[in-house]
Amino acid sequence: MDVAKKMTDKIDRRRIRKVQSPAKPGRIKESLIERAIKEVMEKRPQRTKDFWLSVQ
Amino acid sequence: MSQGDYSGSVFINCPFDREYLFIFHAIVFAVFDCGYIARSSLEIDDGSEVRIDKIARIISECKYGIHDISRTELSKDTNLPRFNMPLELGMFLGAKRFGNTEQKKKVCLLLDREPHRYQIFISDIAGQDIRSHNNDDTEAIKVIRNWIRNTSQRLTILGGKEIVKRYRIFRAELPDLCDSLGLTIDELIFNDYTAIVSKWLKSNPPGTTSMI
Repeated sequence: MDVAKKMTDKIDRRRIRKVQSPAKPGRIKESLIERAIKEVMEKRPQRTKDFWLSVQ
Repeated sequence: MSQGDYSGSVFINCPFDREYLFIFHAIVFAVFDCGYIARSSLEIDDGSEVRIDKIARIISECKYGIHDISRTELSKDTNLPRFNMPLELGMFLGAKRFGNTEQKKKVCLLLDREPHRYQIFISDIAGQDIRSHNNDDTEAIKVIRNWIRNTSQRLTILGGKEIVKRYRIFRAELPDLCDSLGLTIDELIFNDYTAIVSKWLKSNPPGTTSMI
C-alpha cells in the first residue's frame, strides 16, 4: 500500500464520529430509552406537518 | 469508551441550582455531541463515600475540566458566597500542577458570566483565559465546542451552529421522551439525562437531523 493511500485511510478512520456512553448507567432501563426515542422520532413527520399547517 | 477513559472524559464543575439547569443541560449535550463523556459529582449517589473524595476521584479520571464560576456570589440568606466551584477548580489545578505525568496533561476551560469579574474574587488566576457564556445556552454550547475543538484537535467535531441546531431538536423532543418514561424534565437525575442524551445522539447521527 502506498503512503498516500495509508494516510487517506488513517484520516477516514479518524473522521468516524463516536458518541460516548455515559460514565454511569442511569436508573432507567436503556431499552426503555431506546423505545421512547424511536416513538418520538416516528412522530417527527406529523410534527413538521402540524407546524406548517399552523403557520399557513 | 468506558468510565476509565481519561482522555475522553470532561469533568463539569458548575452550579446545580434550578436557574442554572438550562445551561448545565446544554453543556452536557455539547460535550457528548463532541464525542466526549460528561462527568459530574452528581453521577454517584453513594452515601458511604465522602463527597470531597468522590470529587477528587472524578477529577483524577478526567483530562478535561469545565469550571463555571459564574454563580460565585453572595447568598441572599446568609450574605456569604458558595465556594464549591472555586474549590473544585483549585483541586483540578492542583492535580495538574502536582500530579503524575497523566495528570499534568489536564486542560481546563473557565467560564464566568462577565470576562473580568473573576479578578475581583480569585485574582490568583489572573492571566488565565476565561470565557463568558452570558447566561445563554446557545453561547455556552458554542464556547464548549470551540474549546474542545481547539484543545483536542479532533477532526470529527461538528460546527457550533450545527450542535446548537441539534440541541434545539433534542430539547423539543425531551418533554415527549420524559413523558414516555414517566418523568418530567425537572426530575431527570444526571445519570438518566446523560443516558438519554447519548442514546438520542446515537439515534441521530450528523446529517440525519438536517431535514427535520
